[in-house]
Amino acid sequence: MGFFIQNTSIVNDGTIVPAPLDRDEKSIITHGLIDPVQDIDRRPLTFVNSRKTMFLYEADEKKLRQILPEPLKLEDDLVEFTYMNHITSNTGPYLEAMIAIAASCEGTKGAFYTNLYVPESAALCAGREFNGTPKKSAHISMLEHGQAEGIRYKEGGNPGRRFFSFMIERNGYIIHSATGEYTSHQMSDLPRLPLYQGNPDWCRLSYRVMTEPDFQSTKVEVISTGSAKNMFAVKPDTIDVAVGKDIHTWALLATPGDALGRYLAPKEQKLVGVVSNTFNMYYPPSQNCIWTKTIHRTPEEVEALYNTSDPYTYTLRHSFPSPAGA
Amino acid sequence: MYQAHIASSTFDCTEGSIPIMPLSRNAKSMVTLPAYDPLWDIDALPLTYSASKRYSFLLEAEKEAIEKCLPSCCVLNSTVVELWYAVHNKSKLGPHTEMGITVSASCEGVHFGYTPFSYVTQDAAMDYFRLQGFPHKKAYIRTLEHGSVYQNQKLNGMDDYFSFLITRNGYLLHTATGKFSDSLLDLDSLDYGISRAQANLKISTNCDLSNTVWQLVYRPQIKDGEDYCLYRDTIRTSKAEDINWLFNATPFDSMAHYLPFKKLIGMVSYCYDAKLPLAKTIWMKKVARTKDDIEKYCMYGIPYENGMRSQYPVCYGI
Repeated sequence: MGFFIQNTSIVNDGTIVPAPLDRDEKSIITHGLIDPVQDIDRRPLTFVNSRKTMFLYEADEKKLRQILPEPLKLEDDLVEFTYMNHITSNTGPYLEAMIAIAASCEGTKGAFYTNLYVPESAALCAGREFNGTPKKSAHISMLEHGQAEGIRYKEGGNPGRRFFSFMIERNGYIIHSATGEYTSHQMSDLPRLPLYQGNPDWCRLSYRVMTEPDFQSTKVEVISTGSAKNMFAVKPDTIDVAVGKDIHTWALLATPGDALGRYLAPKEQKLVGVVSNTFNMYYPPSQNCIWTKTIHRTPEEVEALYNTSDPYTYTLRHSFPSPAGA
Repeated sequence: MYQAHIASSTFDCTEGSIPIMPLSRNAKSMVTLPAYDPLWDIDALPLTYSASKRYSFLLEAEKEAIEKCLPSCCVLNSTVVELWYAVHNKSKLGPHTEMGITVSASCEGVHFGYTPFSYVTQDAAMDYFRLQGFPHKKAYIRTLEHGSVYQNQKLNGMDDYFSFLITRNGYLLHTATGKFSDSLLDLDSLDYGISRAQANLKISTNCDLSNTVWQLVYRPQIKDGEDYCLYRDTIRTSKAEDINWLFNATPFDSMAHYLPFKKLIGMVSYCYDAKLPLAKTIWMKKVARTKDDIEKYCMYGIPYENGMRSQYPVCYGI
């Protein structure tokens, strides 16, 4: 006879939000109805002591325009390739990698996020389903270590952040890796910064694509989030800078599942540099849709779309190491 | 010191099996984001599985507990519940493993399996099925069958022992271990009203939180022999007394809290191929919010204060 154990009680220090089915329906914002992947206890979303590392480089404008969907217009050829370590947030701890370029939509200027990677599902669903941030799941690693003064780490001391190593891996391929050494604390040492950096007139832009379950229509929206200046509180004494020559290795790879290496490669194999800082952030609870379009499909078009590929035929993109999950 | 840079365009999509990017195609073929580099694309359609393996634990639960898991538009058909694991090694969404609980329900005379809880190991499958209303979360899921004697490069007999587990955010949600006894369960219990038709409640909210749409998304029964092929010689069963079972409610996942089981009936496993049909919405409603409503109902969090659900071991991804 096997054992049959069930623990049905949920430990609760008083901070757990009641389940959606026990609340007013106006408070239900996503599925599942009984146990959602993310809920109203993460709104407004705030971050404390998050660490951000922003690689900057120029890219081919023609390629950047290729990946900008209608009606977005390119405003600059500088690419921001950022890693973030959210140590404490009300959606839990997680790492994040994102790529942004300066763009505009019918007069609204912002940092447009072309790709985002997160390791876990709450941040992934919140981004994709609410804000249109194009998140995928990946293994992300962020490392900073080594004392600037060459002093050995002592108990209670700061392990230091002189050298860095960053990496993204997904479906068996390395997408990006960079290593190097910080050599300054002055952002002014960098020849260029993103147009939106510290500029209160710029916001965040994302492109939400939501298809109906029956594929009969797809709604496309450009979503803007308030000025980045009102969102971030950077801690000035945490700023570390490396200019291009101090980035020792940089690899950005196109893979069958992720095309950013193909379209977002640095121009002339040069990097502007990297800036890291620690910050607190308040993410606005709601965003504005500033442009929308609905793509309708006839039954014949749905049939054709749903039968695009050969049934039971598995190709290059359908084969990768089976993830164990996280 | 030097600066090294490698940029690869190896996977040129102008030929071969990878579709060109959606922004270079007819706009009607764009289905998800990112717009130029989607998480899954038209090469996943139609969604098919080959030689997938499903492990169905059949259990009984209190009628009131199951009913609480259903949306108001659905009625319960049976107190038998299926807790399942599925291993998809060949799928148009890539290899992944799933776990979930499905109950038998109906809406306006249409019968289906309704899945109030489900988990998956991979992002493309999570996004695709969330689009269809499944409440997928990402979790660590393992399925194991072993116990055969491996001799002279040949398997002697079958894998008689099994172990399943699912963990998320540092908690074990469920584990079951045991032995296949192949003492036939009442196979009628396999068909306890959870047909292969599925319906799930999709809840989607617009970016300013002013509107939420509830849709009951129904996917019709897969046609036997045409779009569904059960490998009958792979059916194996296990009796309740041969199964060890641990089911745990956690601060992040409330399956065991809302749906505790009265009795374990047994387990059946089998392999199958499937081609999933298109889904459609069979019931919907809209919930509108004023600015005051958004403040009152959707802002439970306190800025810069994090409760116990904000703390768990950092996840390093797949």
